[in-house]
Amino acid sequence: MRFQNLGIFVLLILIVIVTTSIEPSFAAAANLRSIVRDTGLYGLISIGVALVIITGGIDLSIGSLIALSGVLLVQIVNVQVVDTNFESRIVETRAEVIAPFTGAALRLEDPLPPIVKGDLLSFASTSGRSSVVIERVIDVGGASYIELRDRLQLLRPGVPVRLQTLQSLNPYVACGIVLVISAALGLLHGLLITRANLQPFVVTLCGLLIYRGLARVMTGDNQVGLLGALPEFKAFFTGAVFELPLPLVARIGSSQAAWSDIAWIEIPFSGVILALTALAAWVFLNRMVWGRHLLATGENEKAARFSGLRTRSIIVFAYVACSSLAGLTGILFTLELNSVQPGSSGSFYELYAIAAAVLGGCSLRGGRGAILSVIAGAAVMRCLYKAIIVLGISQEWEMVIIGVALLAAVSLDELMIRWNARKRRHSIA
Amino acid sequence: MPNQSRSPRISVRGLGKRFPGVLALDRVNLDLFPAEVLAVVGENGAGKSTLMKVLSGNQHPDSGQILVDSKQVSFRSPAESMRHGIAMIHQELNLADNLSIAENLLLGREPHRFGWIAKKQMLATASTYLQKVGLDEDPRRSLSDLSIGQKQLVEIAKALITRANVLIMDEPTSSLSHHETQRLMELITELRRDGVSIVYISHRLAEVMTLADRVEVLRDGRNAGTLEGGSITHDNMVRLMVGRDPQPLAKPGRDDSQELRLKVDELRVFDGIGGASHSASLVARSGEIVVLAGLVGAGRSELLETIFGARASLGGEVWVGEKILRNHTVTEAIAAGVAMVTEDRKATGLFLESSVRTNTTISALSDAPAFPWILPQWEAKQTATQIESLGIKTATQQTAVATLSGGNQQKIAIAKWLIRSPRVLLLDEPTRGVDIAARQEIYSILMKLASSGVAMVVASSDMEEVIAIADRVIVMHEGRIMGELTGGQIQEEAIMQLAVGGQFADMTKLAQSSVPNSKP
Repeated sequence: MRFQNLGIFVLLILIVIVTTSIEPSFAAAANLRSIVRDTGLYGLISIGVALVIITGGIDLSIGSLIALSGVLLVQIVNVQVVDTNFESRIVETRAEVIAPFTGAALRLEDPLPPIVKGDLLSFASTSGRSSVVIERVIDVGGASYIELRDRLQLLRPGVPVRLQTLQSLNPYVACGIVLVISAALGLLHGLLITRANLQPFVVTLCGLLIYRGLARVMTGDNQVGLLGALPEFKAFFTGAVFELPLPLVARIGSSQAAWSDIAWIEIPFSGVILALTALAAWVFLNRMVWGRHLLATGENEKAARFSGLRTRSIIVFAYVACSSLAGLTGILFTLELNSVQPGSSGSFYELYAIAAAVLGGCSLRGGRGAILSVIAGAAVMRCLYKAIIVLGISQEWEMVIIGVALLAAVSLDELMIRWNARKRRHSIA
Repeated sequence: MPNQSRSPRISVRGLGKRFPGVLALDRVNLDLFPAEVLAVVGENGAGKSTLMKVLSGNQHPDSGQILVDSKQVSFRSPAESMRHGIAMIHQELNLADNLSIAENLLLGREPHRFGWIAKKQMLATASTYLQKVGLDEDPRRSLSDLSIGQKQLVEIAKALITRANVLIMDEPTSSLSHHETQRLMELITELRRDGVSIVYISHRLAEVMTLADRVEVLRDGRNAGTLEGGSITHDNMVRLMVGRDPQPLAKPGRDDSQELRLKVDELRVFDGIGGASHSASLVARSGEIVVLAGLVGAGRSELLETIFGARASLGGEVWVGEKILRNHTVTEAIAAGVAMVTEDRKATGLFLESSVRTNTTISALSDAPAFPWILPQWEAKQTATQIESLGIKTATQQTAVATLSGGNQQKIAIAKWLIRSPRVLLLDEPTRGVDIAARQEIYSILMKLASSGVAMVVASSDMEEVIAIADRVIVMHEGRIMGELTGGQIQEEAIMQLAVGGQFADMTKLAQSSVPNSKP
């Protein structure tokens, strides 16, 4: 039981070793950081779907729910450009970039009130009003310059400008609302499955269609984004939480480094939240009564019912957890990419998650699954994806390679089970 | 009686078959004469199934010979065995539910012309053989419309179409009603008269005594002895099967002054279609074993499941001690101290792929001391206690339950409730698929529980079991309680009389006359 899923860890290590030996830059700190980040994001939905698969069910709505929760987050946060009552006139513009400037800059007649990054200056142009984004304010020789993110465009001395600021809902409240909605959709799935006796495949297939459709309807099928709003919030949830020192890796990733150099790998927020979620899921499955009940219900629902377990609540819980994690992943993806493409964001992600769970040893018949192996399964797929990029294989091959790897891993697992069974039989005889 | 001077139709000499870890057949000999019923009996694991699989070509022996009509043969497939006239009627019927009776009968040998199935000819052949086995059904009907007993007749007809003269029947009556069992026994007697030899495998020794010309007893893969004629008695068979004399049960006396543990009042059982069967009332006192007797389909399992809350009730009350169960849910019943050992332990009792430990503790975790946490030490200790006190044979607590014998599985299905110290224990066919030795152990477990004050309601189809363990017998027929027997009234005849709805049906009479009733 304990070593049943050893294959997936072997596969993971094999992929890393083979890819690194062909192309050492695979082990570069930036690459490792992005693998950790992606494994974090895909790992969360893999854990969610693993819980559902353990009950013997399936959730196909994950990818659509990621898109929908992204759209919801953008719409609830509701970023709006609002005019302030600060008006002034441009005194001086600087187009050339000389230190300390890193972009085009200008100076106004009146001193600027305190601003936040992302505020704008609007001005009259031929096509109505236009605006430019303020990057920062620098004092040079007692004069206060406003550095712009964009080029100067039509800004010249004498042009009147007005300060604009971005208004939005508190992002924590918005995320809370998105998570509650996701959880409610999971609850709906669970109730339809346990109370209306609909098949999980059908219920969540409908979810896949409906949520994707809603995301497109709500946005008119246009990309939506957070623009320059919530810079600190975004920075916190996409930035590094801490840096993990790894010995030897620096030298492996680059021949310029010495063996004694330490590579500092930035661990992004998604990696940390995956670790916490995985720990919680592991404790739940292995140390808590409800987790045991979940496994038992998945193995034999009738026997579970006759043993006095609240099988319906247990199954509903699994769908709520899965949809909530999908909602959370949708939020993190939106913050990471700053925008949502309602027609394509998250599509196929449910299949990646299911693949990771199966790679991690979850049986689609239910009753079997280990969290650590599922994460290894998610990591295998992200490593394969990165390996394809690093090795310069054309992107079209990605799905082929992942499909073949999945097939190979599952076949290997089956072979090992048979081999073990035969060994056991012989050892008895 | 078989004519011993004639040569046997099938002769098995020194048959050996080894599976990893177990010698399933050890120099087994067997003779089957024309026109005889040979019963093969033995405990689970005695080698009956393996022997029959070898005879029907499903398995290849490691050593020994099989002679058919004095010529040595070697079967590499069931088809080769059938070519020599041997057909096996399996425990799990090998029929296709979605086809008609006729299509099933002639599956794979459909009469055809230019590639088209000759339907008329097919129906004619089917009718002939259905008549032969006494099944009065239109061959065009879908097989799914038939009862299990009728399906079995179809399977026998199918065997006869292949011109089989040896029929191997593996536990043919295990899911038949009383009437169907009688019909099958008559058919077997007719087939024997027509010259067919029958190998009859059964746990039901009463049937064996009724039918068999000879009895071959197997024990641990070896021949334990052959019984013939007058020596075919219950005690002789049991002695050869277990290798020692059967022990009588030490049963505590019945005591009406004990407190009432379970009171079922006018409980209306949902029949699963939309209606309610008749209402049922019963009581069980502390330390009492109440047996629900009756035929298959009498509604005993349904009644137990309704008391337990696993099946919807349409009215009536269930009291456990002073507490009434209002919600009719399993969780509520368990909380009140009710437990149920289900009939089909593989489907509703156990988690087969999970460990002995997980199975033993699963229903007690919610009330365990560290809830909602699982303490492995607590689990290990509880499981060890049960393994010890019930005598469960398992390598470790982590062993998967699927690998254990039926008897040990059944003990775990009981242990998972004993861990909660239930006040009322419902048991549905507690010894089904359990060998004789383990059966005795389960009986003594029940006796021990009775003396510790547990009230038990046991549904049982095994007449010997009913008589052995019951303080009181409640007999059901078609969902209705027909009557109650106590003390000296608990006798097979009285139970059967109530079980068939009040009409007298005497199994022993059938046993005495070798000529069956003529056709209606």
